[in-house]
Amino acid sequence: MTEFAGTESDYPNPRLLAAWVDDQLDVAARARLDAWLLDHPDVAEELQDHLRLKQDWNRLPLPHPSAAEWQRVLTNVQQSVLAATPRRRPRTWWWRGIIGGAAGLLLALGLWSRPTVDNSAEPPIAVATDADVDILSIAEADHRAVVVGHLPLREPIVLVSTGDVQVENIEPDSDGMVPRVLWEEGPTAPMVVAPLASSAPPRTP
Amino acid sequence: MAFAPASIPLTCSDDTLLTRVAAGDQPALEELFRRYRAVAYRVAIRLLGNEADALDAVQDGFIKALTHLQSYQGRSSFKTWLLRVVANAALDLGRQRGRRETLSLDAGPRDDSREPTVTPNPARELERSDLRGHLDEALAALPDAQRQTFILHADGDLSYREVAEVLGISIGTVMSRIFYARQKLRALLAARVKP
Repeated sequence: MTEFAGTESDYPNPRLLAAWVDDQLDVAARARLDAWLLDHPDVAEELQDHLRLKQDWNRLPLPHPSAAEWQRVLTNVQQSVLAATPRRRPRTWWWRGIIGGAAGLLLALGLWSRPTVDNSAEPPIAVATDADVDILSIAEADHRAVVVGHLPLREPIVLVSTGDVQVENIEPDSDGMVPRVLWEEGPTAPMVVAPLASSAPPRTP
Repeated sequence: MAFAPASIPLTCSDDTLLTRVAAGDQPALEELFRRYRAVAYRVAIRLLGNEADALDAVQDGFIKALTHLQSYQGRSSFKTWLLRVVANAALDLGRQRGRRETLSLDAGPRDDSREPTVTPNPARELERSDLRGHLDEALAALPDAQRQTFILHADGDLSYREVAEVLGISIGTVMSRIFYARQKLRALLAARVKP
C-alpha cells in the first residue's frame, strides 16, 4: 500500500482515502491517516460524505424481479445451456471419413484457387479504445507513444483532456530533473501539456 | 450420461456444481442460478438503469458463462468470473440499445397478484425515492470505467482484488477509480439536491 509521499503535509494518495472509507487499512496505516485527518478537517469532512454515500447506497433497495420473471430467465438459460451441451452420438466412423475427405478436397481447391483479398476496406485494428485506457501518468519520453483518439484520425490528436486524467504525483526523472508540466484552461484543452523534447525550453533545476 | 435429479446440498461447492452443469445436470444449474442471480442483477441494473434490460443481461451472462466453461480456468472464483461476463453482457446491451433511464422508483418485488400495501411513512418513502433517483442520475454521469469499477465494488460486493481481476487492471487503479467515483457522485448529488 502506497503511504504518504513524505512529510505530514503531503496530501495522501487517493487510494489510501478509498481504503479508509472501505475500512481496508491496517491498524497502523489507519492510525496515521486518522492523525493526519485531524489536521485536515476539510478532507475529513469529504471522507465522511463518502461514508454517508456508501451507507445510503447500501440502504436503498433496488427494484427486483418477480418470481415469474426469474423463472422465465431460468427457463431460457436452461434451454440454451441444454442445447449447447454436447451429446453422445453412436459411432459413425464411416461418416467421419466422408466428411473429412470432403473437407480436405474443399481445402485443396481453396488453396489452389486462392482468391485475391482486398484488404483496403478492412477497418484499422484498434489496439485500445478510450474506454480501455486509464492514463495515470506519462513519462515525458513516452508521451509520443500514446495516442488517444477516435479512428479514423482526421482531427488533431488530444493526448489527454480535462476529465481524462488525474495528476496524482509528479516525480523527478532519473537525472533528478522535474519536468515542466503546464495546465491550460478550456473545455477541450489538454489538461496536461508536456513540451516535446525537440522543442522543450531549458529546464530549471 | 445424466445425473438423476437430486437435492443440492447448500455446502456443494461452485466447482462441483460446474462439473455437474457441464454434464447436463439441471438441478446443479438451478442452484448456481439461485446463488448468483441477485448479485448479477444488481450489477446489471446499475450499469443499464433499466429492469428489463438488466434481466436480459443476466440471462445473456449466465448463458455465456455456462456454455463457455472451458474459458473458466478456476483462477478466480466463479462469482468473480460470472460478474465479469454479466458486466460485459450489460455493456454490450447498453451499446446496442442505448442506456434507457427507466429505473422504477418503487422498491420491492413486482407481483401483480399482490394487493398494494399502505406505506406507513409516505414522506420518508418520497425522500428515499428522490435520493434513489438522484443517485441513479449521478451514477449515469460517471465515466464508463469509473462507473463499472464502482458498481462491481459497491453492488457486486467484490473486493478490490476481485474487481481488479474482473477488469484486468491493477488494484491501485481500482482504488483510485473508486475514490474519484465517490468524489464525483458526491459533487453531482450536491448539485442536484441544491435548493
